[in-house]
Amino acid sequence: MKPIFELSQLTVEFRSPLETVTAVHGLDLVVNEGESFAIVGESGSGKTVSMMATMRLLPTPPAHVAAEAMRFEGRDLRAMDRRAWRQLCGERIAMVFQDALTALNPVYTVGWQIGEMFRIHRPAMSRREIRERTIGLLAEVGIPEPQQRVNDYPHQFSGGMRQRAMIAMAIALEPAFLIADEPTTALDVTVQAQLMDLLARLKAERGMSMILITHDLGLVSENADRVAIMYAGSVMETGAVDDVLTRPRHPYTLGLLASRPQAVRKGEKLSSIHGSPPNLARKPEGCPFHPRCQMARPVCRTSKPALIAEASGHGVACHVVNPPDTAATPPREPARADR
Amino acid sequence: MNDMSTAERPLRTQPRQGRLLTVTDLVKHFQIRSRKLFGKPKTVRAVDGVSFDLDWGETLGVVGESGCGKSTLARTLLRLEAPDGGQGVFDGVDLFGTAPDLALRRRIQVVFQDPFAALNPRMTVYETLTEPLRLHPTILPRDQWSRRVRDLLGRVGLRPEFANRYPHEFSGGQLQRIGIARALVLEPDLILLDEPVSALDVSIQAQVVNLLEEVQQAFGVAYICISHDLSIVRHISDRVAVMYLGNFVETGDCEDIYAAPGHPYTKALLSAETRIATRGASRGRILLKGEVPSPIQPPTGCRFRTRCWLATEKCREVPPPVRNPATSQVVRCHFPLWESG
Amino acid sequence: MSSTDHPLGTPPDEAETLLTARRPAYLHFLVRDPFALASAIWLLLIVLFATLGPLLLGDAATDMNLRARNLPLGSIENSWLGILGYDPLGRSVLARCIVATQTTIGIAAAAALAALTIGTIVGLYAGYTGGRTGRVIMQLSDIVQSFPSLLLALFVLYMLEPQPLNIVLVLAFGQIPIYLRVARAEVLELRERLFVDAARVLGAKPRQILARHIGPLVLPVVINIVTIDFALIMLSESSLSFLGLGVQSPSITWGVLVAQGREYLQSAWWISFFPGLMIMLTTLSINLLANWLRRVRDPRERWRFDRARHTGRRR
Repeated sequence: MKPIFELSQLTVEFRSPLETVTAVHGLDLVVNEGESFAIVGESGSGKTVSMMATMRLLPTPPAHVAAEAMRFEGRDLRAMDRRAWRQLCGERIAMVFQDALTALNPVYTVGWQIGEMFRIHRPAMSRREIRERTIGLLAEVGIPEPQQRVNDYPHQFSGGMRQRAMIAMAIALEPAFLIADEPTTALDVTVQAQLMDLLARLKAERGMSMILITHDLGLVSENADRVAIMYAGSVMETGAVDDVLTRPRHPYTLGLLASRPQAVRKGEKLSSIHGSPPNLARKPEGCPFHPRCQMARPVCRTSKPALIAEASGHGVACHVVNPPDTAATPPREPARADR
Repeated sequence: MNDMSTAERPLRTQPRQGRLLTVTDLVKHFQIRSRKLFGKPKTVRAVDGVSFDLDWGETLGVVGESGCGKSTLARTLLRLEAPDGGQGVFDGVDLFGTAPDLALRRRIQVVFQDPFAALNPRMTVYETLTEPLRLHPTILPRDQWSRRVRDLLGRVGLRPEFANRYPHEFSGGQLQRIGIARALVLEPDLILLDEPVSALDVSIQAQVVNLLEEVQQAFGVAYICISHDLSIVRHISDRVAVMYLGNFVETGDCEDIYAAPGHPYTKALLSAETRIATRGASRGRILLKGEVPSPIQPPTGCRFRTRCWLATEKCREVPPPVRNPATSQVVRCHFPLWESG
Repeated sequence: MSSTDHPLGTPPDEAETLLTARRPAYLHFLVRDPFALASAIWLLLIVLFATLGPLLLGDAATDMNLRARNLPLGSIENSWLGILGYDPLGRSVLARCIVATQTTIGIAAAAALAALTIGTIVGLYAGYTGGRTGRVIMQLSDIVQSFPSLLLALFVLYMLEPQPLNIVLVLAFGQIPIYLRVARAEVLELRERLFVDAARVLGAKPRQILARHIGPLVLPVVINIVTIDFALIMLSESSLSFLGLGVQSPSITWGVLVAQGREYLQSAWWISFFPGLMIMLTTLSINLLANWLRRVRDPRERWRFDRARHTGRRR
């Protein structure tokens, strides 16, 4: 399994003279070719910020991005100048956002916006070729009557179709890697099913690798190969989806799974996680989850647990799961050939 | 409480039984102006003939996707909009006859979806919670307001000091609790829950759902819970109605519907739910073709026929309600799923 | 929520470390912006002039000293009051400028307040009622707004007497449509808000909703406007006075003072210059301060001030 995307110790802070907010704290991530990697978290977990930082979408006076490594297809992303980066965006890496209505420009037709990908990256293509390719893309993502719809504006599309149009835009240049940030959160269940089916098909046909950002564990279970569960900017648990969701070990993961209504019989109280997601400006010392954790021990209050992984790749950052005295230096997961 | 209105809720020492609300053929249309210069205005048939019953203390869940009209249904039941047709009887009182008076308003309350938007950002929690008492001056003398606010805050799990804070100082889950507290101030008989947890983080949803159930136990209040989240609805509802394009396509006991849906749309909806399962397990997911038709021109006859895999020519006629002899399910379909086995 | 005890004894709500409302430290930000600071100081001075001016310098403003006629700038031989020169009747320009502050500000404030009150109330009503009534009101407001207000003012004051009350009314009238329009626009948006629906479900009547919910939210917007409008009204009043239809003597406003120096622009320019300067500085200060206030109150713009301090450079 060759890694296509690697992040090592990504840290994102938002600095102002009054306070510094650490949105992402030491994130390690490896996505292999052809794989679907899910990042799960609630508000404040850092899941969206980490990807926005990678894609250089955060304004860097208030935001401050640091990492030991940020590699795509072996190339160092941080070392790229703006021109090389723009080459990469769209061609090899693409991103799909949560709300297509705000991500698409309302004053240009959908066809024009998709065509923009070609105009920028394939200057040799003629207008007719671009139009044909665009219509083809719309058909591929399942938009009916693409020859008509190509001239429509975003607001004339329904939510599901807009999202498909955004996906069309993202895959136009056949990127190897797609980052999907909550692509179906704003959509109905049936539309979500259609859309995830589309993404799975595209992934299979084109061998695309994917990062899927979501808060829906069911979605992860059905669509992802590996998962990282984030809370307050750090990874709590990571590993193969089957492992993590059927044999969860971190208290947060256990809590999330248990709080689903499907986890209890009707009439029983739902199990819930105490408290609320944290205020990132005033994060507690030690393990970020400890104020809400039913299994917290005194050590959790003072020392932040490291992510310790087994050979299978299933890693947990928890003192209760990995008592501090037994761990030596935690092996980074997975072992990488080049550094 | 010396309210002389005929709609006054009688003092009760134990929860009442029997029918609380009956709605028959509720209709609500909207006119939108045509985009053409001299075009006729078009009619959005948001709610097009909805009927249901609700007993005291019962929970009716209404599920549907966007565009099905459930928000309009909620607003019409709350009399934020006046219906265009149909009847409603609430504990013997005509719900839609004239503009609702204070006594009726007191008995039907609401918890909205967006906890931030549902509270006035410039009013403290105390002011928000005492507004109902201010509007209904006969309920509680002023010197007892403070205690009532404190009690309610405690009941929804918030500290009494929070009364002096403003909405922006709270998290989403806490705001929703405040919204629930506000709905309880007047001790209503029916609370409409409009997507009560959709805007909240997953780990908070369970807390709020538990709270809603506790409240129902304590106050004996009936709920109409409108949501697109099937699992939440399943958990708290006694009975469920499935809505599509302005109609209830299926109603019945919650467990019956989830175990054996009678209407194809219900079946498709249930199959679209995401589940935690080991990969590779076949799920038989039904993928509906096409998009939801526009409520301006819904398909003739059965509105679901354009996307239904069982549709035939017969479906161009409006399907009559068909009752399942074994359960209490009622569907509007020419080919209920229990008949085809 | 009946809380199970946390194993570490951490009370459940401690996890919800709320960011309690932090009011922007106005003084802190004010000092960071030199223009805003200067404006604030000037306006403070103006308030001082308006309240104490006539009391302290009332006589100096009216005492004629024919020996000091048109004495130029810097004629401090007799008294320090001559520092800005004297007018044709030997009165100190400085004293007159200061004393005129009260009437100028008074008229402008009264007109602004009248316009704000009437415009906002009618606007609230038009916005909430909507429908035909609302539209008719807006048409009327548009008609008023399309009048050249100065011309209208001149006409009215010519027909009636240019008494202070009439001046205030006429100035206010021309400004009402602005508040009306803004208030109505705000109401149109606010009445769709969820908490208004919540109030309706609780049984609130329209008047109660306007008073408790919508009104308090419209107020800040309207006040934001009145700060700028005040300056505009002051300028209008100055124009009226310049044309002779403003306040009549012995009352003085800056506009009147400018008018009085009109014939001496070449010979004794200071008579018109300094009142004109007062007008300009006051209008400018109001604009700068209002701009600063808007930026400070908007949390997203606040970083400008922080950054200036951080790098030591002015933004």
